[in-house]
Amino acid sequence: MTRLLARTATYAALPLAVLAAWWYLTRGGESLYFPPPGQVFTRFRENWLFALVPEHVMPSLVRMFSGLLLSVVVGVALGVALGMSDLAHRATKPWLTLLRSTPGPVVVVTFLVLFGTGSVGKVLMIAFVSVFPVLLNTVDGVRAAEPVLLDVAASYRLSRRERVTRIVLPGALPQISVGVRTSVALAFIVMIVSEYFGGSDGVGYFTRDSASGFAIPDMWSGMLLLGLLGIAVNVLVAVAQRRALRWYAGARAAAKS
Amino acid sequence: MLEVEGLGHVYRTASGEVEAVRQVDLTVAEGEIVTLVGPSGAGKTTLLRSLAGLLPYSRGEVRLGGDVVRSPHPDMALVFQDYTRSLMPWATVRQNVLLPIRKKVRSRAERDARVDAALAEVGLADAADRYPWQLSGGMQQRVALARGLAYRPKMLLFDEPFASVDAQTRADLEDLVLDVCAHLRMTALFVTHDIDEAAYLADRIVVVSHRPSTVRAVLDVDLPRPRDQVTTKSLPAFAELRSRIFPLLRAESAEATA
Repeated sequence: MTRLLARTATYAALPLAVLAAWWYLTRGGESLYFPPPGQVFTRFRENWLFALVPEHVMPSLVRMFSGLLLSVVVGVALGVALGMSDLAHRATKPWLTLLRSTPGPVVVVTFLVLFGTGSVGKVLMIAFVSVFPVLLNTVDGVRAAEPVLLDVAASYRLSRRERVTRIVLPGALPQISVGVRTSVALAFIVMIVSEYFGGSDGVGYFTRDSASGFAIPDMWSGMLLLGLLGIAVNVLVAVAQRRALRWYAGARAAAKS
Repeated sequence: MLEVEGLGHVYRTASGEVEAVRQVDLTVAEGEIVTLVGPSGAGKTTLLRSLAGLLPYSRGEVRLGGDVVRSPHPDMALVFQDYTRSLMPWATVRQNVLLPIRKKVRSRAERDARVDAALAEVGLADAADRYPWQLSGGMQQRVALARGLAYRPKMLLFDEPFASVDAQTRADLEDLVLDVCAHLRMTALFVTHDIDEAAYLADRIVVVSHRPSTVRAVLDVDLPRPRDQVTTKSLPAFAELRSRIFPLLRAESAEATA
């Protein structure tokens, strides 16, 4: 209990210091761009607890998770197919690496032109950018499948489908989850950026719209919310991952001892 | 039951051809335990993988129950050397043992019964819900054996399965193999580099040479069964057997290092 308290205090020290500095520097309240924290918190409460949640937060999160889900499904399926075939792997690897390096903003502009500013285009943008870490890590994980286990699968005459679902995929899961972690971060960024460029809802849209209307405390409240959402999404994914990979942590600990 | 005639295997590598197995002939009769002993690096694993249908062989023929073996045969199960790699760390002991029969056995009740019976056979009935990495090395190799038994093969192949466990565990596992084979009337081919182990388990011992493998000698073992780690190993016949195998292997390694 004391350890938990000590740890929380350690983590909280820096943001509290920043907050204190912010409060101290803005105590006069004369700056248009840097309102005092109290003002931002008030707007935060008015906007996000929970008046504008259905209008802006939900669309953002729904689009992000839809895009992420799409990228994980496509990335894992394609990654298994490419990872299982040497030829397919050799033929696609350099092109995938090239595509992955395409900067997000270029993708956003292109997708806006192709699909417009609606939700479908945004979901596709998010999916396109975040599919690569999942895909490339799945390929690597599949190719690193334990050869002895593949021998086991062959000697017990498992079908190709069983080999994939029972041996290859579970074995690649730790590597896939590394990719998913990166994809989550990318999906979050693309979610915001896609809303900056077009549309009529979402936290990104709200923040940019507030900024261009000089509703500065609103803008700050949007930024604060995005930061908090980012942390929440990361924690959520980390917890889900730890649950799914409990065997991996256990096996690694056992191998070390 | 198992007939191997003129088996040879040549690897193709970048620097040319490497002959791993030159000429191996052997038979294992139904209900018999044959051990294959040879020095380390004798191509024993290559040989066994060929017999198991995991590796295409270059010459000769392998038959199991009359069928030519070119791919893994449904009557054969293989227990691998490295138990830390041959078990799935993400699956419980029960799920590991279940693996080979998920599709093969339609009825769920029948599958569960087979898994329970196989685990009971190796003395792991209580460990079904644990993960392999929570078990000792000896217990993990028992799980691998149980998985083979759940498959209900007619023949078990062992690839130096006890090479990396301590002496006491190894003795226990040897006795377990003998018990299981006797109880289930199992035919077995057991590869090892340990002379004592080869003699203790076998009805017949096949001594193979250093790479490229050829059969140097086939020795009949007439030690009485059931065998016992203490009494069997102190029999004069056991000592004599050892003294016949030992020079065969030593001459080999002397040649190899010369």
